[in-house]
Amino acid sequence: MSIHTGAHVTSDLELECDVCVIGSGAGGAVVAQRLATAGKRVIILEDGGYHVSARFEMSEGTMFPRLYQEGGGRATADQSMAILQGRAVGGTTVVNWTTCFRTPERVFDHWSEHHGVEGITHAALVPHWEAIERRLNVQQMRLDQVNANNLVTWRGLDALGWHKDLLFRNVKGCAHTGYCGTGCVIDAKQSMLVTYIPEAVQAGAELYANAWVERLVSEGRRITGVIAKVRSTETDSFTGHTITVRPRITVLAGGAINSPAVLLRSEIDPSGRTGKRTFFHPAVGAVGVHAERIQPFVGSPQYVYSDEFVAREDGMPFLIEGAPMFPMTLGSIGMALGTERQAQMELLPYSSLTGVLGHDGFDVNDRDEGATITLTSGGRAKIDYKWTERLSNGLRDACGAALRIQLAAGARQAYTSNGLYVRSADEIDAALARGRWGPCEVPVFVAHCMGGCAMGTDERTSVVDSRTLRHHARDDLFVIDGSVFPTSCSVNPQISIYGLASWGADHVREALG
Amino acid sequence: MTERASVDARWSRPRHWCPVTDIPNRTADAASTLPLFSRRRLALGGLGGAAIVGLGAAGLALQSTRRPPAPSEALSVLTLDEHAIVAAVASRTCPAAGPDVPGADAIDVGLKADRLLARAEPEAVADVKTVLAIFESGLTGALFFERVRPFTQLDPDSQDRVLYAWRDSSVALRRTIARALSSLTTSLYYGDPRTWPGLGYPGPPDHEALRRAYVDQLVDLDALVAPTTEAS
Repeated sequence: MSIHTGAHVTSDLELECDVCVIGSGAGGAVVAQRLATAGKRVIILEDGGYHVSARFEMSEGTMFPRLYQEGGGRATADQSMAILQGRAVGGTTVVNWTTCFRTPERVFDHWSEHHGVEGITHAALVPHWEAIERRLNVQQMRLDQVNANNLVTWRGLDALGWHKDLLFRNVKGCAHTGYCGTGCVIDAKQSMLVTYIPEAVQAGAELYANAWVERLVSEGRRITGVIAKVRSTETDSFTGHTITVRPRITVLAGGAINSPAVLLRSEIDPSGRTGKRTFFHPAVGAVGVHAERIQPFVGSPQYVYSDEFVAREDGMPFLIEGAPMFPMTLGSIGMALGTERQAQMELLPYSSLTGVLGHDGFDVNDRDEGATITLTSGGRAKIDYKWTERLSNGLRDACGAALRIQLAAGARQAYTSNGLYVRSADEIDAALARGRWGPCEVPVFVAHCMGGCAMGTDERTSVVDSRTLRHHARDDLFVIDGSVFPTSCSVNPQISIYGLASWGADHVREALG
Repeated sequence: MTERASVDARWSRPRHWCPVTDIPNRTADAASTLPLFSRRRLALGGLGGAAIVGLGAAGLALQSTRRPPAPSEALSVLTLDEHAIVAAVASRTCPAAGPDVPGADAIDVGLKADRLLARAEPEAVADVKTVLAIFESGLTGALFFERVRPFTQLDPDSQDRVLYAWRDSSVALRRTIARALSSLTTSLYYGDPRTWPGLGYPGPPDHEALRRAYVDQLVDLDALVAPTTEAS
């Protein structure tokens, strides 16, 4: 009934339990809490460290190496997409920006029509979402709370006559400092770290942090062991000790990228689909430079959004959201170098960002859209995103929309990460036409990782059975995280994953008997 | 000065003003004035040019890296040469420009890179070392008809031209390497508090004060940690 770090494990361990949950983020924490409170013996293995708010420091340079995959440096193999994905007890929920959406019904309809998804439906998840949203205090923001940065996007949307609305967030007692991305120092963010994980542990779950799952051991259609290598809490290198768990049921919840990597290391890939169709909501945007101080680092990261382009059929749909800017992330994303970069950076207090999330995975003619996860010779996940004309055009259109919003809101000048500068809306089309939109020509930012273990009912085209979230090739293995989405979910994914995990936990309980 | 006037003054400073026409021009200049190793001559030379590159390859590959002053602390994973390459790139991606803009040299981005990589997986470290070697090499430069000297031995203007050429290259691998080096150096540079005064960024609030103000809602997460070292 406690949390163990790498420092606690001073010899090899052999453990038995009802359920071994691999990963403690949005999927794993909910499953663990549901099963532990039902009296099941649960062991959670988490690769990241146990970092708590008392030791959060609100600095990107300090916290990114602690709280993000690959020290904040995770990226596609060609470096075209920078991927911010959490790595800690609580997973990405510790560092996300607290934006909450339920999976839209149209996404479930698409999954049903094009990916053979049966069993899990929007209606089936509603009661799970309702319970979770109550627990996590999910509430819609008020206009009087919106910070100057998001108000720019709001004003621009309003001036253009485009759809706009206020976002929901999972916070309680929020100080609106804006530092969600480096971990909430006052436990206002209702992340898994301060909600479902403590509840799971208090109900009897044992959590091992700094435990990297190397592989699952199989005998026929059963998992007989989960092998984890223990990391040092000081250096993050392996200590030489291992934890071997022998569970009745294994729940893989390492998230997109990591869950498929575990399956590939374990050579569990009968359909050849593991790691395929991984999606990121590739994000771009436009920075507007305004006459007044915006201070885009003050106030919560996101308050406003627009559905204006989520249903477009003539290209990749996209979702518009306000987004924050901090020195390290802003400095590292753009294409500008040297004095040009410094000039952009020095205007930070007067700058505002409109972000745009591309909806990848919805090209019905492309079976292998998105990224493919494979393994390096050392067993690390290698991420190759297939860059298509649809993506290039979608990013171009998304940047255009963001530029229009910033200028409509009164920006004196607006620019994109690939160095297109405009001062009036009349200049936008020409700027977009001369822009280059290929890999490493327009920097893309990723904060949402989905897919790679797609659910469905056809064993030839999917990895996980959508009626139960059980792996097609193992009777006692469930995959319960964002990796099972057959496409991107088209909204910030945390609530989608919580609901799916709660629904999936019922099927694990049923399997336990 | 009013706030509005202050902004106007910022815009009027040439260093801050990036009119639409300036950016592509500078990039174009970089490409057209690039050849330290004449692109036109080699293009005309065709196979002859390739042969020259081939014959010179061994010598080019062996050219030494120019090192900056030794880092203030011992390196963990990078060699002194690799530290020098990171430092040289960083000095151009993040140059000094006055008292509020210290530049990468002043905060030793090369040492910061070493510290970051010390916690990375060995494979990731190896990848970075490969990238540094490819970028530094005069041989690589020669293969792209760009230069014959290592990057660290070029003067600052030539280094800028090389960085722009790699960033804007039609060869995907060169863009990948430019992106990797740019992201690494700029993230380490702008993540350092010494760069913040020049950006008008005040830094994060006092997190201890915040915790005192919100003490009633803090969750005692340390209470969940196992109390003693365990044995199997």
